[in-house]
Amino acid sequence: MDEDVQVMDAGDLEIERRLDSFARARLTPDPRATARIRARVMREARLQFEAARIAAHVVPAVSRARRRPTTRRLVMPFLAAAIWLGIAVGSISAAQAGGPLYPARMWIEGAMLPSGVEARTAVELQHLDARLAEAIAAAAQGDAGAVAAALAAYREIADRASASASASGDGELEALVAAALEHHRVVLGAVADRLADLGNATAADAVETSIQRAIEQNGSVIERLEAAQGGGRGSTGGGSAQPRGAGESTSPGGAGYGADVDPDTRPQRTSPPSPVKPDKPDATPRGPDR
Amino acid sequence: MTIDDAAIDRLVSEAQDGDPWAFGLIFDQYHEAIYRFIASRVQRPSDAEDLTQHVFVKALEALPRYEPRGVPFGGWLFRLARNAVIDHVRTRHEHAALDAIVEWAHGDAGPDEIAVVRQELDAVRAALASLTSEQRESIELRFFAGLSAREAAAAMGKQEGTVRGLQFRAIGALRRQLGIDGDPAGAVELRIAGPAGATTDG
Repeated sequence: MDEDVQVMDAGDLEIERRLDSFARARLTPDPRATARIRARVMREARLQFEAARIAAHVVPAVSRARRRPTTRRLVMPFLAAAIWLGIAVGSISAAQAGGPLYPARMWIEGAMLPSGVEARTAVELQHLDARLAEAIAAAAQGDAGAVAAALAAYREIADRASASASASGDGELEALVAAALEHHRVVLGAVADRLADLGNATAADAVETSIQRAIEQNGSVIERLEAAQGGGRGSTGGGSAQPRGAGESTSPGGAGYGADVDPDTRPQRTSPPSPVKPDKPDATPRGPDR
Repeated sequence: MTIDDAAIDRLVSEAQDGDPWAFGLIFDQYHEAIYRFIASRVQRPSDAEDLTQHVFVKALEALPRYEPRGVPFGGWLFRLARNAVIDHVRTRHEHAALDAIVEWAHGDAGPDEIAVVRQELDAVRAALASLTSEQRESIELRFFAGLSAREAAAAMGKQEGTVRGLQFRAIGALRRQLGIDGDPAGAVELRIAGPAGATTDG
């Protein structure tokens, strides 16, 4: 409705007058028609505005109401799964070697040992393998604390297994334990050797110290088993440890699981025996029940 | 009553916000112009009434999408009216026939006066019928609906200068048809503003 400025002469003004007269006479709406149109249009306007207002308030509420169960459906199981996963991961993590729950795990494992000597020994040998694996894995990661924890547990199990085997008076069982420990000693020696090659990093040193302690512990246990067997160390003339029931069990004291390991050939910190070296004891034999 | 563009824009904005009172004022501002424009192009007053209502309902529905940038609201509204008329004529196979338009009452005029007026109106009707479609539409939007050249251009979808040219030629044709001679010495400056009123002062 901007304002137009036009130059019009009398003729144009006459045209405008006539057109205006025409519009007033023939095109102007009847007031009643205007009232009808206005009433209908305004009713429609109120309806539409009200509908829009309701929609603006209701739709978000409906959306929220619809979204809530959906959110719950999605979030609640996810939350529960996350909690369980967190608990599981936390528990597993905490029960790892060096973790806060590791001693509890060890205690549970010890409490769940079978009552029979042979079965108990077999399980304990499995536990020894597990501790050894944990120690090696922790050593690979340079986690000295985990190595120490795993090997501490290892020593405890080894003491318990050797004591149990000695108390049983079963020479074959003692030989089995001794062979397992000897095998572990070789493996630990190799790990210590590998760590020595890595340099003098603090973690490597700590790991190596723990491993060395385990090696020494194994040596002591083996000696004790040998003494218990009464045959004495080296009585079989330096043969390799053999599996239970192997043909070399004729020596005094029965089986030669580790009993024929000479102290001089025992892996030392600086030169641990390697399983692949021919002049070292063959540590591969394991009990058939392993 | 005429109101300026800024006031119209405010009313439109308020109506877009859901204010029926504002939309009522918009209706009051434009309904007569819309009706006149439609009535000049359809045969029956009842059709003009229905179409006028239809145009405002369509405007109501389309109002949220209207943006004041570029197209004046009057032009936008009359474009809706123009499209409604075109659809109506197309579906009814109806051609705008000014002959059929009913003449409103003439108040207290006597029979002679009524006869003179009727003769004059018939002459105007005949002159309008002689115009081209575009010229006639430009006249309808300008003089019957009271739109500015800019608004008429927006309604017709043409350039403002084009519409001015159409109007200029249409007025010339009407003058010739109606036998109105020009008097250049009597030229006056005419200001035209607002719909449905063609408020003039000069």
